[in-house]
Amino acid sequence: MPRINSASELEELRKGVLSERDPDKPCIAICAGMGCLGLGNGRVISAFEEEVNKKDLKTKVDIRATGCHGYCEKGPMVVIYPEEICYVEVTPKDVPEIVSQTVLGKKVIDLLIYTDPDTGEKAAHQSEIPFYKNQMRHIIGNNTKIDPRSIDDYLAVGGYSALSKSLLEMSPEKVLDEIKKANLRGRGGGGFRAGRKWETARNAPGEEKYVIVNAHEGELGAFMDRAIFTGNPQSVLEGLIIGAYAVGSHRGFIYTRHDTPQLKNNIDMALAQAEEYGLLGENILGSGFSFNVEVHLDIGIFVSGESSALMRSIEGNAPEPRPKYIHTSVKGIWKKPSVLNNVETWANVPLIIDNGSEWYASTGTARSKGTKLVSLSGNIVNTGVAEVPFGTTIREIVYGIGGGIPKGKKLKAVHFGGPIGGSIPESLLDTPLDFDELAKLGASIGAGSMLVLDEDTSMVDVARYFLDFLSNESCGKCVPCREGIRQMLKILTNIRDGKVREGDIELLEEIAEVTGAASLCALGKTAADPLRSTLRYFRDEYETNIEKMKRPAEKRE
Amino acid sequence: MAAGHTFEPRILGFLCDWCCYAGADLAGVSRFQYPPNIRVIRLMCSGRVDPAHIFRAFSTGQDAVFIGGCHLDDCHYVTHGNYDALSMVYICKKLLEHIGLNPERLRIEWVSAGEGIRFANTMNEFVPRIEKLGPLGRGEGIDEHELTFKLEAVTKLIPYIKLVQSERLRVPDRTEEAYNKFFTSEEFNRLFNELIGDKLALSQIMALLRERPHSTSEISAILGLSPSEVSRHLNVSARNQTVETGTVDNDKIDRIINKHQGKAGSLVQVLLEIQHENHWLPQEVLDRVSKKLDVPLSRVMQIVTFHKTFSLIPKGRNEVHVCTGPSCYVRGSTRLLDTVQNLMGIRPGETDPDSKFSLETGSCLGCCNLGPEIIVGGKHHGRVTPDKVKDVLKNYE
Amino acid sequence: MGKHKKMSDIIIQIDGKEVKAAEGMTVLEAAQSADIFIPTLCHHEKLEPRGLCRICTVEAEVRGWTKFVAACLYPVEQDLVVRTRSEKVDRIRKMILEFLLAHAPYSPQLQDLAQEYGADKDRFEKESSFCILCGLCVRYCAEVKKKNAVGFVDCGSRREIRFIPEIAVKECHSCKECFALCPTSYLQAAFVLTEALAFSKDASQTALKK
Repeated sequence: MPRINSASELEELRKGVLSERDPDKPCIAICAGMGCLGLGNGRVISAFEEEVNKKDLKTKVDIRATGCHGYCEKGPMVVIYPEEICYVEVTPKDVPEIVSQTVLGKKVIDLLIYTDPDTGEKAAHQSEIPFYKNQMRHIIGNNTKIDPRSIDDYLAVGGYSALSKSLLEMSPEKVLDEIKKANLRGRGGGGFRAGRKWETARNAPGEEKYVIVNAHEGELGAFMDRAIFTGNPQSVLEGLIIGAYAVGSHRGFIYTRHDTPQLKNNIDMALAQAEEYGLLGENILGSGFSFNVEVHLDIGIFVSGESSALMRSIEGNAPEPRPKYIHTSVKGIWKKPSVLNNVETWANVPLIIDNGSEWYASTGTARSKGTKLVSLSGNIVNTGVAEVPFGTTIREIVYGIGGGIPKGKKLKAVHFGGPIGGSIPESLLDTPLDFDELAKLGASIGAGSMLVLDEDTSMVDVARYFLDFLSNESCGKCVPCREGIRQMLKILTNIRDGKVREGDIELLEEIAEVTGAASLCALGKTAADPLRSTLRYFRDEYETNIEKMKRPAEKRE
Repeated sequence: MAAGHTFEPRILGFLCDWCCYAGADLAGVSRFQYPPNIRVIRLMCSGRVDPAHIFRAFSTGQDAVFIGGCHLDDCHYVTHGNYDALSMVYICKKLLEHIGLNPERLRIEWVSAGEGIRFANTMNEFVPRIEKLGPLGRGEGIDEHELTFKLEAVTKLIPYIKLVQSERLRVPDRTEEAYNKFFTSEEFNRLFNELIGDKLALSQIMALLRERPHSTSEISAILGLSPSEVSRHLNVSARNQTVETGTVDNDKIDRIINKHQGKAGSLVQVLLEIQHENHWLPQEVLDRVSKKLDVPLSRVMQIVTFHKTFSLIPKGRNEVHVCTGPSCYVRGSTRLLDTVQNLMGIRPGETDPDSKFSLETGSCLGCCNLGPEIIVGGKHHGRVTPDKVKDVLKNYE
Repeated sequence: MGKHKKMSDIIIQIDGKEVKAAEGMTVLEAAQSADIFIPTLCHHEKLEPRGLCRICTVEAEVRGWTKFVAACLYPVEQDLVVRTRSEKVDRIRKMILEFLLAHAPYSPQLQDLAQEYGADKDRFEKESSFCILCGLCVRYCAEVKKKNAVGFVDCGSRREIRFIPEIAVKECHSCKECFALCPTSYLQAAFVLTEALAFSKDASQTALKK
């Protein structure tokens, strides 16, 4: 692969890649995301390869194993380009028909396209399917067109133009300014203004600074980071390098999961290819800016998603948080200024640079700009990853995209933020997706996981479940968190088992107050949030006669 | 009971000088008859008796131990040592029970200096009772060898037990009622089991392994523990660095260490890679990593015990993982887990005795569309209902 | 933190009293220098403060915002207003004590503080472990003796201290300086337990048969 040393060389390369691709050439894009692979998509991919070989179509048809399409519920997913015909729940035995009928014959196979479960309406194209139709897929949209193991695929959709623009046409301050103007807020759960964080690090004393991708995705029920990072790792890398340039950092870290080999392999490959092209490493694009990245694996514990714990882990210690009286953007890894941002946050950066902060800020609400990826799970018809502009109401997401609740049940609540988040009751479903609106209601948006709960769910058990999780996944070093969780869990378990005592609820509230105020880190401080939010909106479930409340949160068949 | 020859119990008595010894003396002087099986040791207060004395007595051939002190609240010392004796006896009885010996072999009585007849009556009751129980161990169906290592296991733990007793098993009021209430309470049982019971099982396992290697099934049979419990204890032992269960090629380890430039900062990555390749981390490996990277072993131990990602004991051939993330939870993962546990006979974190399956739970691999799911050796089995579990697992050897 | 090192002192307010502090000091150090008492459990003059027990929690007001911070770690800054006692601070301390008393009701340090804050040792059900995880032993052995014979293991609710047998068997008998620091007798108990289970033999002798 040739090394690119200027903006014009990049464009030349891009043109070259595009010229070799006939837009009318049929392409079979098969989702190779984890959800689809778990449904046997590996066999579907092999079946297509076999069929194409058999029919001697190797030069006439492209097969692309792409990143996550998002509609995990209906996997294995296959999209046939250029018509964008979308087939759902594909099995290996459907493959010969697809190749002959659709790829060659340009005909739609009725049985394989999406059927609306309520209306019976069919939709042959991805853009017509309700799940996709109601989204705004700025970030994840490219997943269907890219094989994550091919940097050329990314270049073909315009990749690295933002990096070229940043390094060769803008100063670091200008880049920083754009990010600030766009009001990019952290997508990992903090919602902290990225521009401000970058600026603090940039202005902090010291030559050596670090930028970090938090690809830990510890929030339970969140899988959108994996969808982006496994499916389009170059987009995240591009954002990271731009950020490094703005901050003045030459060394970056990617902190990712140890339990997802596909993710690590795709990242490694992406880094290697980017380096070969000179988009990473010394003198990027001939700009004089150098930047290198290391990949670190996590040990799997929830607390290691906390920024100071993550940094300690990179240093080679057990991931224990430290109090952030001095921010990590001033003193982070090895006490150097370190900017930690989530995968999705970094993926937004090239968009902002390419299209401008004004364009970016035109989407969303007054204080939450851009789009947000959400992962739908729980008691919902359409499990998967979706992307919507901020301001979309929860109702629109759950029903318009999620397809509503299965088995005709009623919705009880939507839980955001996992073990340190909160639940939004049905009555507040018209709340717009917005950092501050949700925070006001006690259910901070977190990383964007939306756990949908139906009428049979016990909210007491939901609170108990999350505390049980935290009791094993917090580091345990400070008293208010460790002991507070221990005692709250005991009481909730007793309540669930019908052994509530007078004053238990007040005691829970008291413990929640202490844990929230005195804990060392954000995990401890928000550990009681699910409890607090369920007490706020579902207090009657706690108070009600325990006999009526025997069903735990999980289903009894 | 041995047939054909009479068993003469050997009983050791600890009598306090002020009351019980005097009482025994009076019994003698007054010619009140009682069997001669008791050998007496005189001490100044029943509170002086230490669990170590009791178990030394049992270890050296005594079939029963008797402690005699002043009546409660009549102790001749301000410290009310007889209450200490009482709580000590409650605990020792529980210890005896835990190792399968009849707790009646240990008895405490309050006898005053003037109660000669009471002493004789007590002995007339106690000795035949012990006769009936038979020789220590054999009377409970425990052979000599087993008895030895069990008593050894308890003896080793005595310093620990004493500290636990003084810190955690104190009774707030010095009254007979309060003592009886506490030592028969649910709370005492729970504290005893959590603090001492588990350690006792560990100590016994250590004692067994000190003699010769034993397999998990053997330990399970000898100690009467379920394979699940044995697996759990071995896991704890490994974390205590008290059980050596295998080795790993040194070159392999060095290769991994060098790959990460042998820096202290790469400790986590090195351990992760070894765990990934080898599926578990023998103590030897941890020692070597500690030395080569020049990091304290305590830091290594903290990391490898920090999360279930690392295993300090060998895993089964098939690692079974039941997702217990919130989406799987609301779709029924608890019932799924129950079914899996019942089928395998082990709980999360444990390995079955044939080393076929290791079970673990954990959260969210992000395949929520597959929930509830079981992952075996990396392969996803999605949308599994309890009735399908057997089919999923039967294909694994 | 200041952008450049000031040679002059910082003035902060603690309980209405003006206190001079140097840059880099913590609130606890500043309070101690002015003879203002803030309770601590995991703090020791020879050790790096870690903020584990949180009993030194105080109210810190800066630029109109009040927050609850650990005095042993929070750095002083100009115009900081500190309140070492308040209704909420006392509630926090009372509950922290009650949490710990469920583990170690007879610890003298805990009992003294319990009296001051009206903490009830029976508020929570008794927990079996009587370690309060103040970490004094671990940190002393690491920072002062530099032997690392005892460390933390496990995490969350199951966190514990544990001796490293191969180091403890060599170092501890002639030292045991950490024993005096322990507010309960758990450290001793952990030591004798390790002695019982792990010292007296060569690891290879307790091999598990395959």
